[in-house]
Amino acid sequence: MSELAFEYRMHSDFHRPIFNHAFRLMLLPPDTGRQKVLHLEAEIAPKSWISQGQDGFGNRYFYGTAVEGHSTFTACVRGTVQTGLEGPEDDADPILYTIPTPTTAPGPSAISLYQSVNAPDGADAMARAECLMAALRRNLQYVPGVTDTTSSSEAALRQGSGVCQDFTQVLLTLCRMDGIPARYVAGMVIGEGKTHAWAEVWSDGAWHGLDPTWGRRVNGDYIELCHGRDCRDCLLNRGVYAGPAMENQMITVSVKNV
Amino acid sequence: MHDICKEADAINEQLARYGVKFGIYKNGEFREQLFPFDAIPRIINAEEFAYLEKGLKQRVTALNCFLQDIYTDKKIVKDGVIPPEFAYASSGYLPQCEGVRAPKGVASHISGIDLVQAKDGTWYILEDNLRVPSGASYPLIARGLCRRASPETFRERKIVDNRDYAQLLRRTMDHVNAGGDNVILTPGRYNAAFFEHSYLAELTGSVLVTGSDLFVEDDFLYYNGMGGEKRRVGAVYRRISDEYLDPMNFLPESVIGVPHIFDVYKKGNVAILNAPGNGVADDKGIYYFVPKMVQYYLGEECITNNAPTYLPFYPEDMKYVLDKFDEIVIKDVAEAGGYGVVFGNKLSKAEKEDLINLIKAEPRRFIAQDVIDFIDIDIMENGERVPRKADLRAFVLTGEDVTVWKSGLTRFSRNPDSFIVNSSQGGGFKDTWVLSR
Repeated sequence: MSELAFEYRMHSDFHRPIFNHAFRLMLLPPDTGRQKVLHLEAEIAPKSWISQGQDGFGNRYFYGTAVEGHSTFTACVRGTVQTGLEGPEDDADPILYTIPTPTTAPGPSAISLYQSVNAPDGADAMARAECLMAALRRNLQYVPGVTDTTSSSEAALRQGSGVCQDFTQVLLTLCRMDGIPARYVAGMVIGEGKTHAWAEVWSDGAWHGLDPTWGRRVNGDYIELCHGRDCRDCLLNRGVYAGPAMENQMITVSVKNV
Repeated sequence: MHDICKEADAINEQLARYGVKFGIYKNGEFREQLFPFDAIPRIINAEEFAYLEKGLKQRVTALNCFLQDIYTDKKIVKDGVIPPEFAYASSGYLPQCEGVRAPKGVASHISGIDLVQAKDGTWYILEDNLRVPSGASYPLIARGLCRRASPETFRERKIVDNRDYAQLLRRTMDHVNAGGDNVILTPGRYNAAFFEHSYLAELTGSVLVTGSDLFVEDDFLYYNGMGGEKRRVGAVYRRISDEYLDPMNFLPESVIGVPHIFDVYKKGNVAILNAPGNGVADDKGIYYFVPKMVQYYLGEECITNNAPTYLPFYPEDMKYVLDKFDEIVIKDVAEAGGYGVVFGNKLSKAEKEDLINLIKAEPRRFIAQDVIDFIDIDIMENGERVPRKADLRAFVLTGEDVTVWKSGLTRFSRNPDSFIVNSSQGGGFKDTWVLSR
């Protein structure tokens, strides 16, 4: 068990004022079997009103609108979270996570990679998933900027490169081909930098985290923000606004041991 | 009836003046065309309609049970009646709706059920439309014009008045209204069915709005009234599809939706008709399972008949599809509006081979049906009666109770060799008379 303090900070500058700015921020870490939120505070500005909602996967978020003209927008969320727990499962129905989505459907590259893996027969789902993870890491290189949030696992695999999002989606594709329920998790990991993504696989009646970018099991260094079937289900921030402005957005994340 | 046929040109002229048009996008171009009206009605006698009414009520009731179940308890999947991939891999399944119970248990408030009648008189359901079925306004306005053109026709015959559609629709909206005005949300005047949106708004006393007229504030939905005052919305009869409804919850790139409207709906502060997520129940693959739903949820035999349907997903059905390829019709479950419908015997050898390979590669994507030889209905063409294929869209409204509108949209194909009657493929329409005895 660890106790982590985190800060997520998003700041946008608009080169001209914008208005009627609707936003949704998936920045409320959930209580799960593996983590418990001890303390949380958020500053979001400007805003005309704000509320909290929950999506179909059980993820909670802030949403609201800033109606009046503004040329900066800031969201800062800080908190402390207990991690690395072994509590009861929060989401005991893995059925949704067995089916391919548009960005995780297998294509020729995924099929040939899957066929090349010799996962041990009779092994439990977690052991098989680790074999699949090792195989995909031999076929993917970490290269920022070559994919975006609409990219598919097949596209990443075909070009042989991507970021944590792509590593994760490829693992989901392979696991689901193998009949293992697997889901996408967006969150934060210890250190300074950006948000992160990893996978959870359903094995022995519980979710277990696997981080294919680092090639390791998820431990108490990770904080989940939300989960879903793929990257598109886990967009951490969404916004629409009126006004012909260019946006310059900076996101910084810091997570450290208390 | 003869009198009405004489007036057909005058009625069509009136329809054009009222703007009864259909917009079609083809090859990236928007063209508006008249929706041709044929004055010879489809006539359904009282006994036949009583049968259809009973069957359609049962069908829509079961579909509403399914929609509630599939996003919450999923009993029908867990009990093995429907394979999970048919529910969850369907493009109409929206994970955003997981756990959401539609207010008062109604997800499909306005259902458009397409039927055809075979030559032996049997009615078959072709598809269920539970998202934004359009078309009720056409027989509705046509009836009014026909009555004006030939009042004696309606005096002499026992034809049930169909002009109650607006009241039915109004009652359906009021039933789920969460407090506030009723509005009809249209994508705008370039939408194929814009005439219908404006006509129904007028007749139901609803406010016709586009996405940019609506806004969410503190978890309630509003629009600005005539005097600039903020007015609360209690029910939205939306005529835009789920994906574009709310850029905060569905497609982020939508510009015709209303940010946060889905959140406010989930909090029970506004009703949305029809409920988001209904596409999972009117998917062509799920259609196969509707009789099983009736059995499962209601414990009754399904009264309506499905057309004999085969799912290549099941090996024995795949064999049937390959054996009888030249006698069946293949439908791509992802397509609508008469697109993606292929008759096996109309394909060249190469096309046939390609399609078979595609079906083998993606069996879940296709259904196959025996071709039903459905009855022809006469239309007037250049002063002569000629037979054409026609279907019927029945409208079933679910509020406090389930009501089948005693009329319907009869669409016909103007091409004598075609079975495809969709208005987007250039078909015309007729009034549908239900006789009271």
